[in-house]
Formats: sequence, C-alpha cells, structure tokens
Amino acid sequence: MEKLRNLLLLVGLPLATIHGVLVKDAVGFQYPEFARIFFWHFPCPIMATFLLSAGAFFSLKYIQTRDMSWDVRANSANELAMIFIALTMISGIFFSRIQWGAYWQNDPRQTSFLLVTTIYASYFVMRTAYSDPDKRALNAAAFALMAFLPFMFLTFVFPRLPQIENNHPNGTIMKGNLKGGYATVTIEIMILVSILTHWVYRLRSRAGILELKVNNYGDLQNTSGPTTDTPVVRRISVSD
Amino acid sequence: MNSSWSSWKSEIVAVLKKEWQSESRSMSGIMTTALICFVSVIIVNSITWTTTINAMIGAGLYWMILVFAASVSLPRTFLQEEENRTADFWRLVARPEAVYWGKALFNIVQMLVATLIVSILFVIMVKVEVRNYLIFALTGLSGAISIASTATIAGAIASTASNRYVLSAAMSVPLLVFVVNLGITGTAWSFGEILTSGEKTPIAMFAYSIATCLIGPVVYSKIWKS
Repeated sequence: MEKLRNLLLLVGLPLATIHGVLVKDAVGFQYPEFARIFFWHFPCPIMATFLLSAGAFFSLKYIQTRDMSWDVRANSANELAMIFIALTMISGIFFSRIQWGAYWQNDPRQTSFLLVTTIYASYFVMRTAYSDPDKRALNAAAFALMAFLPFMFLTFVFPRLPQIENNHPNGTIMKGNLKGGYATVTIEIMILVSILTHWVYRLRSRAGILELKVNNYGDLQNTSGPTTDTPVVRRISVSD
Repeated sequence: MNSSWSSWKSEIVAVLKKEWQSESRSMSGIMTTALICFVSVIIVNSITWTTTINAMIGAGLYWMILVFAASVSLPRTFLQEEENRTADFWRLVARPEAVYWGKALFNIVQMLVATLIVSILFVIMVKVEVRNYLIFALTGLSGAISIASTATIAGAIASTASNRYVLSAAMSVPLLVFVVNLGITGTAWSFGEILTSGEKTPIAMFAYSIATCLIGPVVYSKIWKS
C-alpha cells in the first residue's frame, strides 16, 4: 500500500503537472496560460477546510476522552491546515495579481480566508501560553470548538451573502462549468494532493504520538508489553 | 421540571448577583469600559473633525471601538476569579453552565451599556447621520450579545494561562471578526450606505449570537474542572 502511494505521488504529481501544462487554455481569463495556477490553488482551501473540520472533531474527541493522542491529532490537522491556508493565500494572491490586476482585491473569499488565518493563528498562540500539557490540550480543544463556528460562517456563509460582491465564481463545479481537460486535471491533482495530505498528516500525527510516548515513558512501560528488569538511573550532580 | 428550573435560576442569579456586588464595590469594570469607549470616540472625533466620513468608514470605526472595548474589559469576569483564587469556590457550589450564564448575562448587560454609550457619543460627536434607527439599534443589540458571549468564553479559556489578560484579548478579537463584519454591514446600511440586503444583517447577527450563547456553556462545562 505504501509502495503504491509512493509510486502514485512520484509518478502522478509530475505527470499531472505536465498534463496541466498541456491542457487547452481556459476561456474567460485575462491571461489563460496563467490560469493554470487554479489546478494547485483549488485543492488547497478544500484540504484546509477538511483538516480544520477534522481538527475540530479531534478536539471534541479529546474533550470526551481526555486521551492526549486526540490532542496530537487535532494539533497536527490544524498545523497542516495552516500550511494549506498559507498556500491558498499565496497562490490566490498571484492569481489575483495576474487576472484581476492587484495582489489584494478585497475579495470576500480572500478576506474571509485571511480572517480564518487570524483565528487559527490565535489557536497556536494560545497553545504556547500553557506550560502544563493537559491544560494546554483542554483549552486548545475548547478554543478549536469555539473557532469552528466563525470558521464555518466565514467559509460557507459570508462569501455567499447577497450583499457581498464576489470575484470568485460561486458553484462553478456544481453548475458543471468546469469541463474537459480542465476538469480532468483538477480531479487528478485533487486526488494526488489528498493522498499527499493524508500521508503528511499521518507522519506528523505519528511523530507527535511517539513524542508523547517518549515523554510519558513510565506510562509506556506500564501499557506496552514487557519492560526491562532494571530501570535506567542516571547520576545527577548539583553544583554549588 | 419546576424545581430543576428554579435551581438553575437560583444558581445563575447567584453568579449574576456576585458579579454585580463585586463590581459595585469599585465599579472598576464598568468605569474602565466606559472610559475606553469615551476616549475612543474622542480619538475618532479628533482625527475626523475636519473631514466628513462616509457611512462605511463610520460603521467600521464604530465597531472597532466596540470590539476593542469588549476584548479588554469583558474577559475580566473569569480572569478575576483565577486571580482572586475564587474559581474553586464556584466549582463547589454551582454548575458550570450556570456560572457561564451568570457571567455571560453580566457581560451582556455591560456590553449593552457600552454600546449605548458609544452609539450616543458617536452620533453626537462623529456626526454620522442615522437614517434607520431600528436597524441601527437591532444591529447594536445583536452585536453586543454576540460580542459578550464570545468574549466571555475567550476569558474562560484564557483564565488559567500565564499571560491571561493579553491572551484573552488576542483570542477574542479573531473570534469576533465575523460579527464585526456583519455589524459593519448593518450599521453602514442604517447610516444610509446602499448595500443589498443590509437591513437583514441583524437576523444573521441574532442567529450567530444564539449559536455562541448555546456553544459557550457547552464548551465551558468541558474545561470547567481543569
């Protein structure tokens, strides 16, 4: 399974990129050749949205179970989401400059994503304020649940409010306006980015859980099979 | 049912009474909030007195004053409990939801007073013309409830942190940005800005305030014993 995933990513990502370059230009763009940035821009907010939702779910699981591994999962999901938010913003800013003439257009979706960034930036700032891991995990989980509400409003409601004028088209895919080669490349890259995201998320959360186990070495000894007969004791000296 | 409701009511009222009694000793919280609102409006007035500000900018300044006044003063209700080491007392005598509701109600009243002060001063000093008083009032009312309930839970979350005062403000402002955004739309509409469906903004703000009021006690009850 891992080999298949590695092969897919190693071969699939370059092939999908080449396919994206070779596909016929899209109509309705000022510079159609640069509109291909869409292939990489589009999966980023979707991945970020999915990861932030997963982060909120893991936070809820932590609150219910008080199992630290859920906190690690929530933190990993939110960290990865921040990377995708940054990629969304960067690719969006370039797209905006090329197609709409300015790096920042005050577009509602640009603005709402920036607001989501500030909310989750404060999540990470909050985590640094607690030295006790249990308090950190619990309060971070509570904040993540509180942040989920404005996040949902900002992502799904705010850009669609009737008084909001939007440069981003609404419902392009739902209306079937994404067709032909563009649709194929979008789906290809979407699948590959999803696989990549899942892989990176698993790596990050597994590393976090391992770190947790190393920090709680005593607990690990009690719960995970045979232990050494003699505990490791290090000499310490206190200087005058 | 009745006894359950009356026990809830007595716990919430007890928290509310305690808040009012401790506030009435020095009036520090209310005075601070009023001072922040007053000074902020004067600053806005002093930088705009030679110029006429349009409805959108006026609404933006109005909400900026409210949200910063709230983020500084409202989380105080929970932060003080930790500072005075009285939080454990509440853990013994009341349910978490009742504590949250008592403090949130106190903050809502405080925020309504602040909104009233800012609104009167703003209309008089910044010279913005209110074209629709009903929408202006409803936007302020729903915004005050949303801001108070969000700032309350932000204060509760930050209350055990080392840098709790700074952290609570840093946490509540991003959570309030969406409310502020809606508030600006509704207030700008009431100032005469032509915005599609601007008059419906208070409905969205009321929906948001109900959602925060419902989620707040649930989240607080989970962090209560930490």
